[in-house]
Amino acid sequence: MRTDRLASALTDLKSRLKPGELRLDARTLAAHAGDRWFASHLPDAVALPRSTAAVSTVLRFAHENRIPVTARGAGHGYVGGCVPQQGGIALSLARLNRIKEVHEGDFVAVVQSGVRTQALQDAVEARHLFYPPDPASRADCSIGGNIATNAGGPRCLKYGVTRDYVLGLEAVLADGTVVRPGSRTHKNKTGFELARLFVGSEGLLGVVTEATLKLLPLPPYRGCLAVGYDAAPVAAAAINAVFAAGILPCALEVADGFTLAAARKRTGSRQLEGCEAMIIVELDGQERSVRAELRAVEQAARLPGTRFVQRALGAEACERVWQVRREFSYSLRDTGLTKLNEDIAVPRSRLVDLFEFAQGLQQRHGLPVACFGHAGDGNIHVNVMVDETQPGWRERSEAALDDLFGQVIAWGGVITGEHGVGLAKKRWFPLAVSPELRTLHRAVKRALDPRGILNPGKFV
Amino acid sequence: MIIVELDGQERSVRAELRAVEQAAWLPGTRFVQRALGAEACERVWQVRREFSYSLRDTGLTKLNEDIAAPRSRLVDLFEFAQGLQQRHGLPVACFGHAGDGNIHVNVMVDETQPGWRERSEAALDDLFGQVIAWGGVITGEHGVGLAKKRWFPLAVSPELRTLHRAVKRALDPRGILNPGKFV
Repeated sequence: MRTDRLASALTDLKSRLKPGELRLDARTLAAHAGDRWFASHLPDAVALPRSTAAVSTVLRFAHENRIPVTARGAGHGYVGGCVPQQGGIALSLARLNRIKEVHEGDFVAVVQSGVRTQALQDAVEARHLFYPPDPASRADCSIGGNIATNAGGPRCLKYGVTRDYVLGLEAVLADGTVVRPGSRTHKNKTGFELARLFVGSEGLLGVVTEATLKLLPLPPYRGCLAVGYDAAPVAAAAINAVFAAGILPCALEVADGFTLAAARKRTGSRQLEGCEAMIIVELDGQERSVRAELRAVEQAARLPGTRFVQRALGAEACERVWQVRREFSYSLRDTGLTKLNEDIAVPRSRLVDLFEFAQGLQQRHGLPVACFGHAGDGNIHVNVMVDETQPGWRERSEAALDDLFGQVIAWGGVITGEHGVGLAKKRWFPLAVSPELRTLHRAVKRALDPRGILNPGKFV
Repeated sequence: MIIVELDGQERSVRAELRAVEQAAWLPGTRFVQRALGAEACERVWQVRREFSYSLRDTGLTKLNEDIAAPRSRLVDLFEFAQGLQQRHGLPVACFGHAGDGNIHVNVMVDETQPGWRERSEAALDDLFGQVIAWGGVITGEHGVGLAKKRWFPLAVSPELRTLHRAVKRALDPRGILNPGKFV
């Protein structure tokens, strides 16, 4: 669309919305140009609707006038998924931030998509209910963004990812039609799984305005075990031993030697000295069960090569263990390098192979590589550390990622486990997905967004 | 009657089963049967499996409707099923997955009686209408197939049916896959 025609169309749209629901000022545009990844692109307008009806108005108008619309939650994504790559309207769901209902009898919460994940968790936990998906950024990210990316987190090992908690949605289609796929029942086989079609769709198929989420009874007790090892294969053996004992922890995290060295530098922890790998195991449930099973985990995980064991019983003590885990990210940032966080997932048995491959990557490309993440489900964050002041850094990092993704796919793994494709992984999407499957993506996309106005310039 | 099964580490299961028993042992309890270990559990589940056979023994045809209601509607559903029985003169037996609200409502039909089909359809109209009014669904785990096809438009809005058709057309433009069903 020509610039003058677009400007007059946006003025027209503004008059159809309530005051403040469409902003054109430079500061607002700049604040909605990207997410936590480094790419950005200015939108021509920012829609900040306060109701589903307003979202519908925006989409109906954009559909009629063929204006790109890129939906965004809290803007906390890691792959540039909400970057309005072709301009148009950045549609923020931030103002749809009401928890509409928490129902103790039905074990459901009904929330608008702008609600912060942590706010929902606090609200339900106050009533002894539990919404398990726990992305690391849960204090900042929103349920709508979690749904758009099918977000995960440490606890997803036992409890499943966002997808597994979406019972029903309210979504606005490209032409402004409002649909409510799914229901508030915990089981539903009425027709196609259309609610879940929108989960992980990265804003390419519709705009989610409300979600009906499944809740569980809140486990009353937690226990944690952190164990350091002098070699990565020992950690992998310990992980296998925990599973072999018939125990499914709620979280099972791992960190490699590079990450631990950076963490030791930051925290001065003497415990981490000489550790080439560390695991964190968390159990939840009834107090007696957790205490007994944590002892069983310790027995299984204490292998020759163990450098330290740290036990934590109760929520507060566990938080201190997780604090170490959170330090990993900060420690890597302390290196002064830029962290390209690639959330690949490999078949679980490939953990040691992956650690070794990451070391080789480091040697071949001269870039430090730090691995940590969700060992239990093979979703490891491979952080390629880049010095942006060095010439040729971009080519070198791209070459390293080519290597990494090629190997991960050869193992039967995937290039993204929980962050999404966005712009960051777009280049490798054709490597990861067969031509037939890409054609199917396009067919589904065309069926739901025939004019291609939703988040254009992304992986479909 | 309820059946509660726990699994996990033996010590944990034993302790938690005691906690379940404490929670479930309310005034009005007629019996409690405990089972520890896979074999003993199988004997309890045998009783559950007998439910279906027992209903078959009545000589009636069992229309097994796997509706799901929001969990808090369990007692409402049992009461509604009794009312159904009175209004339509058809025995109704409910059992199933109480934990997720997916209850099998079995409308028992005597196919030798004239008008049995109309009466059972009327009873199902009543049942599905009420389940949907509660925010429930007409099928929790069996699917729509032909059995529930008549009620699909009641359960799914016109906009959502249009979306079903759009996805169907995208994947099967010539409509050759399982034609004559719910899309």
